[in-house]
Amino acid sequence: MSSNKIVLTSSDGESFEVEEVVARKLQIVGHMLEDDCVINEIPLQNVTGDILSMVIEYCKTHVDEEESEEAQTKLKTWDEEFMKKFDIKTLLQIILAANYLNVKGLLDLVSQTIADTIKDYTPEQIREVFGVENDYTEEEEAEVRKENAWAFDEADTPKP
Amino acid sequence: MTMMSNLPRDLLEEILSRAPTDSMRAVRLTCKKWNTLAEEESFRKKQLLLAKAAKEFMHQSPQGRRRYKLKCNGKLINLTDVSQVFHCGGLVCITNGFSNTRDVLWNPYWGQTRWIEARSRHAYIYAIGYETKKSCRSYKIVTSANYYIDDKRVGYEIYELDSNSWRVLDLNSDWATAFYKMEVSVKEILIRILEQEVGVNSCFVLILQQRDLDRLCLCHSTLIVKILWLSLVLEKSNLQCYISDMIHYIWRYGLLPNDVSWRKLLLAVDMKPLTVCYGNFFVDEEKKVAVVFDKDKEIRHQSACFLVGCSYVPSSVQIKQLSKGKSN
Repeated sequence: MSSNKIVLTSSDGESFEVEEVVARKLQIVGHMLEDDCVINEIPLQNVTGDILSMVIEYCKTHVDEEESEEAQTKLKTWDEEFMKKFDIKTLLQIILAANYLNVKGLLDLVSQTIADTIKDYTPEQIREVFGVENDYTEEEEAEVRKENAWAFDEADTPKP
Repeated sequence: MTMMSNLPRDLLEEILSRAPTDSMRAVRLTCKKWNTLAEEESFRKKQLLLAKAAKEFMHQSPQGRRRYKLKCNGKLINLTDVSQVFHCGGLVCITNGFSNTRDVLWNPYWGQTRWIEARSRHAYIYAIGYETKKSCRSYKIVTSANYYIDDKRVGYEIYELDSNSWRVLDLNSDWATAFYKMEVSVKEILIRILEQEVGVNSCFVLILQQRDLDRLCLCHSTLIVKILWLSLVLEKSNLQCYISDMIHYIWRYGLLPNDVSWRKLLLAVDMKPLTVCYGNFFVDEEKKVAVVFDKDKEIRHQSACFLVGCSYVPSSVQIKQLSKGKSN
């Protein structure tokens, strides 16, 4: 196998030269290469350079995924450290890019990372962190709150 | 600016379905869109695939003498004197042993609970199950009891969630039986009770179909059966019954609809390192594990959970709350 180079160009005109095996981790690129094998420059309209560089960093690391437990553990640690670099807004941009570029592993990783941040948040905190508007009326909110009540909250636990 | 609310639906689902189980309440309270999403079938399926609740909820740890905490991904439930834990159809029944006359029914998926006034202090073996009525699950709890009303022995009692009432299960069983373990199953009308005849090395499964009672013999003639465990699993309309002789193995029997013969399908797990007393177990064949609740071998009288995996599947079924008048 020749180490064929592919140039990926972001929506804001930034170019990245990567090996073909790395570029193929982006399934969107993989499909393009299968359709027409002489392409060596691929414009990616929906992703900016700064986000694309992160996706490429992920793909480079995951380019040969070994089965061995040791390699898997190492990758997992790398994933965790990699995710720590980003705030929520960047993570949301990465997940959109991962979806568009069709990088399944990264999509899973970012989804789980975002979901994990929800842990221990109150609804108010979730709204604030994720920029979600509260469209409940007071009555509606009280209704959902009641439906999902934790009866094990201290106040509800009957005294023996 | 990229916001959570700008995400396409499938990505939002991808993320929120991975949220910890006990965060689902907060997720649903965030906004209407998320609440609707969390109720959808595809969302639930995704959650099942991720099987988060399965891995998270069943963690039981002794907190000093006779105090236990059950953990639902960080959300702790304090219980004194946990006697046994059962689950079926997504609901978990936690019995409180002798010191408390109330039992708890719990849906870890929603975090809903309901306290149930125990009918008899003498009930020591419980089972939970459901039948499907008009596509709604009607949950029931069966307990074994042993007391007399007008000189008639009461053997089993059944509690129906819908009506919040207990009634005596009229089995008219005049066999001399020692009762060890039972489980209410899984689909439609079946209630199965495992009994073992005193002094005879064989065991029986009683099947109550509507009001007709069948009795099936499981020919364990080669085994010295002292105490048996039973666990039932429904897979694609095929009921699997797992039976452990508590000493060596878990046997799997398949019971096909309209076919009352038992087939021994599998001889699998060496139970010896685990078993001490009677307990409760689930089998996950795909992962080749069994989960066992039992008394601890080292510290007597302490319950322990030998958790190697879990076949628990969360359910979105709502536990109906009692109206105020009846509630206590």
